[in-house]
Amino acid sequence: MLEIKNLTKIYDNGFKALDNVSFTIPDGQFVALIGLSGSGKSTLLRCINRLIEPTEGQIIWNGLDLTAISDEDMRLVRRRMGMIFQQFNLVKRSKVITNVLAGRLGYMSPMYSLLNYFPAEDKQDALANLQRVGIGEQAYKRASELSGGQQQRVAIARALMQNPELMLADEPVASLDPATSHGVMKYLEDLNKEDGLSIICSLHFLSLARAYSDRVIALKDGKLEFDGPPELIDNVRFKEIYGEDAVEVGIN
Amino acid sequence: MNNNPQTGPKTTRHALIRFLIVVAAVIGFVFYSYGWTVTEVDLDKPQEAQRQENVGNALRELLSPRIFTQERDVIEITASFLMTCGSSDVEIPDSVAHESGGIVTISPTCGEEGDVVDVTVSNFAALADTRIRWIPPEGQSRPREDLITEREEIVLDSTGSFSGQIEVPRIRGSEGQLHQVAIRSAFPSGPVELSDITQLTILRMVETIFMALLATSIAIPIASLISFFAARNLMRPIRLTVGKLFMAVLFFAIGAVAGASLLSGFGQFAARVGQGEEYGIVVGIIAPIVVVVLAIVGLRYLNPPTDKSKATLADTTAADHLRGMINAVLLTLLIVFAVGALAGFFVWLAAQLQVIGESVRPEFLKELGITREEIYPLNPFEWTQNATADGIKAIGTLLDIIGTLITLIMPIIAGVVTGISLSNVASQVATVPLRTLPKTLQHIMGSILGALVGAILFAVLAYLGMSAALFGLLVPIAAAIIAGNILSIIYTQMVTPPNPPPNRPRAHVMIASGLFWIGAVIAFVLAFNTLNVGRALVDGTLPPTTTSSILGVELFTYMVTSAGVGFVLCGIAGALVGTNSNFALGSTLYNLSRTALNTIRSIEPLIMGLVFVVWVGIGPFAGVLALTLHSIAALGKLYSEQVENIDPGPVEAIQSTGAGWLQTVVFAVIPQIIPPYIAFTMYRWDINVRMSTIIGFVGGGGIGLLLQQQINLLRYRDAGVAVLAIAIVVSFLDYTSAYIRERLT
Ligand SMILES: Nc1ncnc2c1ncn2[C@@H]1O[C@H](COP(=O)(O)OP(=O)(O)O)[C@@H](O)[C@H]1O
Ligand SMILES: [Mg+2]
Repeated sequence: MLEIKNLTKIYDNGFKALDNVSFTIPDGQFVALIGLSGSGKSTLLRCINRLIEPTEGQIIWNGLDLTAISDEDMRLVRRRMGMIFQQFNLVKRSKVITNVLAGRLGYMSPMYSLLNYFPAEDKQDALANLQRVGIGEQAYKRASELSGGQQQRVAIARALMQNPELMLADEPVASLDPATSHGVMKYLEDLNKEDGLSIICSLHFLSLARAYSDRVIALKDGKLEFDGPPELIDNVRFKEIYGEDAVEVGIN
Repeated sequence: MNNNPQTGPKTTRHALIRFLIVVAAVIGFVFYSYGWTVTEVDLDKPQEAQRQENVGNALRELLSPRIFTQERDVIEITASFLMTCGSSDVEIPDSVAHESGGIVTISPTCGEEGDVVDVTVSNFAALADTRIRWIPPEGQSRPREDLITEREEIVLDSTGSFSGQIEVPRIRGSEGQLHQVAIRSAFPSGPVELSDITQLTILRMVETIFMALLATSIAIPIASLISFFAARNLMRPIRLTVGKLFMAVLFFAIGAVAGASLLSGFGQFAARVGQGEEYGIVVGIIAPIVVVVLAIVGLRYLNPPTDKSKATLADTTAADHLRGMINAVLLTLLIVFAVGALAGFFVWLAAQLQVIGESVRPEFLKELGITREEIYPLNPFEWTQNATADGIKAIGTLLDIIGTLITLIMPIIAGVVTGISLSNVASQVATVPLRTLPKTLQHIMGSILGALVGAILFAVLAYLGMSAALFGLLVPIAAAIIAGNILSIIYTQMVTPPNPPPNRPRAHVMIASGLFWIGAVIAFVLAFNTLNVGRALVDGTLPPTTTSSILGVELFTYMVTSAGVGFVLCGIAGALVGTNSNFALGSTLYNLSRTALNTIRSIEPLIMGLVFVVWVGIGPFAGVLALTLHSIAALGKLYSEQVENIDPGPVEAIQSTGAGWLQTVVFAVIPQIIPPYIAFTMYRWDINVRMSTIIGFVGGGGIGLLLQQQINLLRYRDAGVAVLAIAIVVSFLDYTSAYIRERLT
């Protein structure tokens, strides 16, 4: 269970990107995080695994207050939180399999990883995870040779290597075309349904949120604007979240 | 004019601004003009005839490099001339034709000084370079210029003929005697060959290129390492609790001293084993291998590759700590032994290679005892043998240098390795206990550890300060930084409400930084006076080397006093912040390494060369050292900028998997920076070749030394060869390195 309590983030330049945000996510939920660009979605996701240091508030995960623990402990906690990104963030010059194996780094003793050594079982896991996201045969290509959708699937496989309980996805399909988007979203849905992972996924399109999520959390100017099931977002709510001029467009 | 009250002041302001701009422009122009006076721009000098002729000659010679030579035969034909007609009854002999058929006739064949004499040459060597000389019956002969062309250099025409006029020179006391007019022609015979200076230039150029190569190659690993510390994006996230930092520094110091004194003997023993001096070379080769294999097996057994058990560090058990300690001990011993044994083995191998190399050399060369720079006509087979011998011996020399260097710095290696291991273990073990300390104890511990660390740090700075007057400033500066921070921390902790920084009112920030400067200045002045740094700066005298005894150890009083300052200041600072607050270690390291790189980079290699020439003598070694030091700084800066320019996405992604800093660097940073690193290394090599062409001017060896010598001897044609060689090599490298860089990026 993930509890966010009064989370506030003020950047060094004084900009308040998150303003007193609170919500609780029970295990196994698929949460869509929506809001205009600049509303604080990325900031929120990065506060949860402390890639960004929150300014105030608490993040309590399985009883442990993540805002109070040391950097070293946070590193250990991050092992159980996968994260995928809009830009996929693969190491483009490295092989696909190396990118996937990097998901094990948190569990490896550093001496071994310096020598680029991974146990055989990890390599098997890596291949299995690539198989699972449907690109097993690409394992020994350079990451840069893959298409966008394939790269995002590599990123999912990398996150899976961490054996995560929670998956943070920051606009994972925003740079993909609609068909590929659904492919990637289906894999996330699959992780949620079959492996019971909690997923917090920020999305641009409400239609994707409606199609895949159990619950929608909307941010506006860093504040929590809406928290509830996607069905409850009617036209009025929509305009509250996205502004008066906005019109909902779909992605099919 | 000011009928509109609103535009009135505005117009005045505009006029004022415009006036100020004009004044500034005038001042700027005066300043600029002054530059022309300061630099002594003088248009008269370049117009002086003598100077113009000099520069013309120098340029002509520079642009006529003596690249080739050819054997020349010199033949001379003469005609007789009686000084003062009728002064003697000596008969004037007719000109005699040379065996080649050449003949010179003059008319008249007698006369006075100052007379003009027609000289006609016919049937001589076609197109030969020719000089006319006047040979008196005794004394020096004199060159004569052709009065028609006003030149001494004469070229015969294609039929070997020439006609011109010369003046009879003034030669006292030679009346009534026969003088000779000599036509001396040189004409090529034999093949065109590379001149001596060209051959020397090639040798020196090779030396120059190798100097650049060596400097670059030594600089690459060092600069790569430093570049990570000088990259803001990698360093900023590194934070450490003050307690861990203090533990790490304290135990590094203890470990370094212990390692240097206890383990360097072990390392040197390993070197002797590796060299075969202890148990023979068989053991020397096998023992290190066995030890390394055993240690690796042991380490692997102790450290399973993956470690899934712990959710947080609080789960660390005593057994884990014990394992960590055994690890550290094993690893320390292993590294020291392996490095030492390898060094010893290198020295042994080097000696073998010298013998092997010499045995390959052709017999007759051995007897001649030739040196590298002498060139003998060798047939291809002998040449190959000779080159192989040189090559094998060169490898041997390199191994010997590496091995000897490692043995020499064994105390440093042992100290650093032990220091790192010990500080690692200590901060690991201390992490959880320090974190769970009650609040008051945190501050007490902070104070105690801080005082100890401060004493060590300031003693080290003072030790540096004892070596040169300027370094004496290190202690006062460090004291100023710490004292300034103490005041501003007191203010922020006790006076302002505990707001997060962005919310803190501007006034508070200003007061805090004002207090920082007040504290800094006071501490600087106090430390400066206490340590009498001023005297060192004025007189250039170093601090007195009186010693005092602390706990039975003799230490320099100066260091003890500084340590006292550090003890007090860091003790207070540690007490204020406590062991649990965070210290931005990364930013500190970043600032330190950036400052060091920028300082070293600002010193031209030529100046460094001067210093190194004093240390290691005139020659390429001094040049290599100077270029290496400069390259480390320059490459470090370039590399670190590349690290800062990488795509932050993969770094973020790898970090989010729970990878540590080192793992992130290896997996997310290094793959991204390899192409730019290669490109910048090429670029640096290119610059180093340029630099090494001139480092010889200060005694750094290479082609610069040759060029300087030729210029000093006014041999511009020879200098021209060196200049041409530099131009060719530099532009060739310029082109190739640009090409490679283009291919890479
Ligand atoms: N490092 C930063 N420093 C200052 N402001 C930032 C920084 N990162 C993001 N912001 C600002 O915070 C706000 C929220 O950003 P972000 O979380 O990226 O929004 P979203 O992901 O919803 O588009 C934006 O207005 C952005 O400009
Ligand atoms: Mg975003």
